Amino acid sequence: MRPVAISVDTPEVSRNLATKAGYTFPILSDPTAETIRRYNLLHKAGGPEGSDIARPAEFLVDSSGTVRWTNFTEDVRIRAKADEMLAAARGVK
Amino acid sequence: MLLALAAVFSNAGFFLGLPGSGIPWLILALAIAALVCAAVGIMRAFRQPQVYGGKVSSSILGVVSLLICGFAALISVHSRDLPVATGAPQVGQKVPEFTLADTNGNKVSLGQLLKIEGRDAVLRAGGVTSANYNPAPKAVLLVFYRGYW
Repeated sequence: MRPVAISVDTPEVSRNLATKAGYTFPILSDPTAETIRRYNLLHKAGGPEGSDIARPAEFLVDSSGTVRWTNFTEDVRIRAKADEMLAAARGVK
Repeated sequence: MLLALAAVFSNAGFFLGLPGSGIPWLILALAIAALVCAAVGIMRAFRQPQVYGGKVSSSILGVVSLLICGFAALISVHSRDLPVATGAPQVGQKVPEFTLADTNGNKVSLGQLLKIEGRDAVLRAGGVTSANYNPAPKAVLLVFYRGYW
């Protein structure tokens, strides 16, 4: 399974985050929130100074591009657990 | 007043437990317990000021407890202030294709992410070039996050 992170942060901001935290998975930038909007995940004015950001969401997508598992938290303090995601990934043949 | 103090301390526990606690109901339970303790503490202080310290100090502690609990409640409310994701892709549906810049400014599409194999330096974050052989993954886990880290 290949994890991919997406946010409105610019490549520079994401690069800093990756360097600091030691992340080696791809981190993609959607500064205009175009993709976030297309996935219906826009949190209008959810960011600092009223900027639009993504609401947290996780999708496990198989090689055909079909969603196999999702997680949409209703509380920013609760996110999908690694175990859950790995279990879902194991279910994809 | 001792109980009011206990209330403040239980709130401190809430703050310590906040990062990655994953159990917001516990925070709420602590805040409610703290308020009850504070109320009881103030009542006792007013009935027997000699035994439980002064009315003034217990009142101050009570107000402090209330403020901290209010702050805790505010965080709880704000944390749940998320738009619903009803229109988002559901299990069994195809996700929309996208092409976005990675941390090196290279354009990466979902199709690439699903199929790329081999020495894909493009897909390594932080400008690190990968010499590892990465087979095409069985699946891609798309993680949308709020950003501003």
